[in-house]
Amino acid sequence: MLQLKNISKRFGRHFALHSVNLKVERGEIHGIAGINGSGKSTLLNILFGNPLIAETGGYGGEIILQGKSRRIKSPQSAIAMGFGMVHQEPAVVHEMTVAENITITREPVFPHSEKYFGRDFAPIDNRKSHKKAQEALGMFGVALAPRCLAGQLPLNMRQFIEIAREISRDDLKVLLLDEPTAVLNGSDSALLLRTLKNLARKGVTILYVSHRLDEFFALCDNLTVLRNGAVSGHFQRDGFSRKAITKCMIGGSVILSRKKANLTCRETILSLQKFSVSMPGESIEDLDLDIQKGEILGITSLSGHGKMAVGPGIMGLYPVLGKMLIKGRQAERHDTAAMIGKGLFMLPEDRRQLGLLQDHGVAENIVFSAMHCAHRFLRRFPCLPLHFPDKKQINRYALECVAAFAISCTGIAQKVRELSGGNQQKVCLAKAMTMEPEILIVNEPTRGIDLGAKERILDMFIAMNTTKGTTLVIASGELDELRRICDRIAVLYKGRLFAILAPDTAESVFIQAMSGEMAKV
Amino acid sequence: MRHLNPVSAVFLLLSLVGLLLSGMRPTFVVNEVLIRFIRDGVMVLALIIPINAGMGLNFAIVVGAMCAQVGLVLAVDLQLTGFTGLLFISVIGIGLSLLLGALIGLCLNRVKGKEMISTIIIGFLATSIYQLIFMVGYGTIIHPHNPEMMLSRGIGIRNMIDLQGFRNILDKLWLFRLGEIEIPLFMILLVLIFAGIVHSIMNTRLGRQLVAVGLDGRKAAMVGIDTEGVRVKAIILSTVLACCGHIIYIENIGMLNVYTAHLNSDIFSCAAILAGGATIFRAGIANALLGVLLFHSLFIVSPQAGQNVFGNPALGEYFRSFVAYGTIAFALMMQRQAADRN
Repeated sequence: MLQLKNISKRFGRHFALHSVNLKVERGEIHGIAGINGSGKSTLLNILFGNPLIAETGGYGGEIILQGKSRRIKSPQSAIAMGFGMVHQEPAVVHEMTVAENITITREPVFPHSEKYFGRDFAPIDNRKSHKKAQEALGMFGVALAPRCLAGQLPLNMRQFIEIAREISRDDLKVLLLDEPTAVLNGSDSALLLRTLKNLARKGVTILYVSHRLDEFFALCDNLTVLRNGAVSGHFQRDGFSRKAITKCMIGGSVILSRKKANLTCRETILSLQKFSVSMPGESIEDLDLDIQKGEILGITSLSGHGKMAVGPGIMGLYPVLGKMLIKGRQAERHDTAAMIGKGLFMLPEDRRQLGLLQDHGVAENIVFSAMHCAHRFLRRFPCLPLHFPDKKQINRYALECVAAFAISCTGIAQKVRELSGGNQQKVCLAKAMTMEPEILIVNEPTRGIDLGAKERILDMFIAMNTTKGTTLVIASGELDELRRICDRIAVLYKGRLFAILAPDTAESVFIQAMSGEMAKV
Repeated sequence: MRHLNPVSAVFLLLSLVGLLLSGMRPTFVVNEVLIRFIRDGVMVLALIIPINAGMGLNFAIVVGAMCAQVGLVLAVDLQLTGFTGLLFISVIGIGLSLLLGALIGLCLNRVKGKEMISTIIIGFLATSIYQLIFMVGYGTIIHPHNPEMMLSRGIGIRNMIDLQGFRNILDKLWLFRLGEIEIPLFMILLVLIFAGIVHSIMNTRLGRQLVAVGLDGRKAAMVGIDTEGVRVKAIILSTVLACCGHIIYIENIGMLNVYTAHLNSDIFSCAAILAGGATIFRAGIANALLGVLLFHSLFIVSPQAGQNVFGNPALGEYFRSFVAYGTIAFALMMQRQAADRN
């Protein structure tokens, strides 16, 4: 069905893919595993004709689809050949409705109208379009109002809209999925995997990119492992072995980060009293929480129950009510600049949109906050009150950071947009470290990041906490990670503090607390 | 339009204050507004499609207006009158605007994100080329058939051409009187038909693609939309609509000011649609129609109001451009604030 021959892709001098060969049969579910930066997303982007590939000089090698050699230039041409793609970050237009998003470019029109008005100008039959959208979503048992705006829905629902859009196509031959479960929870993921199996039975070929081994075991017929842009291993269903695959992925084995919890009571550095944040979809009401100096505080909850709102609320990104005392004193102004001035810093979960300047280089991103908020890395212009960025100092510092954080990039001038998710997060961290904050708030630090990079990032948190004494507040849904590195974990339920638990508390207790079923502590 | 937005509200208030100060009779104002509605309505509708395609205000609608004027001059040159003439003008004008619209669209694809300023400059450039052709080209390279429209030196066309053969041939159709108010029903229906056309275009596959490209170009490309092609189509449609709008405008006025008739059509149309509560990101039929009514009410009463308050007729004239440019600047600022609040 689909055969790739010697596919190569270069970004500048750096090979993202190096003669990758792959053969997939009709109706096969083929997994592609690899850690971040191994080239798996790049491979899918080539197959789907992502404009990023053409803009950076195209690809080398040959793609053979159903026995014919094909050149893929744009998503449009890929779609015409029967490719469909589910992106890691759903390509769903927020201001359009669910139905509009699902049926886009193939909206049902009134009968015969296409004959008279042509493909572009035939009027859309909205009722049919809504029905089509509902049917597509119904395939995996999700019910959404077709008129609802996609942007008002949580991320997992947007992901379902994207999947529904692709699987509702009649001409779908090859479905590409780029870490579709990164934004889904357990039951949603199971639902997706079931749907994909049904789809494969109907004869659709599926290429499934992920770094979650469990999903490969549950889903795939064959598995190809990429490492550093080249195929490092190939496994068949009966030969799947967790150990061998992991070894193939990282070229060694992973050591899990772990920190011993320290529960000694310390002075309170930040105190929230009756603190409410009105953030759409994740609001907090009357939260009372004391953050202690030098601790790692985990904040967890189910999605929509407020864990994501704590950081933005503290930083003044959303309207808040109630009191917030920093070292016992109420701040006069509650906006982001004032908070950064008081030694607070936050890394948002949406690092692509909010955390990084996508089109700027690695070096600029690392020093940006320090330069603009703390006026460092500047050189004074003689005699005038003007400041210039001190290029030499910045470059020296950025090179140090790239080495210290093991950021894999072609150089400190490479655009952050071109880096993989894990490396982007490392740049964020380097930026935060440069600010030397007293309190660092991090939302979902490991979302969309693979095994190897995850542990490295968790290690960095631990190092930051133990050597520099930085207070860390980590909001995450990854309970397992929080339990490994935190001193205390606050569980929120419906926007209120439900319990503060020690990290060695049994997992079942956490789950009960998150679903609000435990007697209050 | 569930509730009146702040820009429209300010316009409504200013119009009422202006009406009081000017001392004009309301029936007179209503008549004038109706005339402006049919003159400028279609031109304003031409702005809706590019706004929704994320290209902002298309100031290059003056190019569409020029296409209409080319058609008119040719019709006068060939001495065509009445409905045959009108048909000829439409064919020439629309044909030309299809071509020029595509050209502008291709230009705008090279300046993504700076469409508005680019269309302003394209408008200026087109105006100078247009003026060159009719001031110098006619009588030298192009051979005129109708000596009446030429300047006495034999080269270049007169400033003003009388369009006796076309004047108000459409406006008199189905003309009703309601007391002192004249209602040109056919023309109002014509404008509403154009509104219907624009509305239905927004509800086609192309319309959805336009909106998707306007809202998020990258994502639109990822679902297989040819974003550049869609943008070109948006500008072509806009230019053609502008051409139709300008034919109606000239036909209503009955005189063609060859070198300057098209000049303010872009600014006034943009001001009108903004007055109707459109933003540079989103606009609908309701914004365009309401905007024409509100903007022209103020436009009509402001010179007289200015004269009554300050006692100077020159000041009154000044008020008109003040209103137009002021509206655009004001609306853009209000939107900035609204966007920041969200």
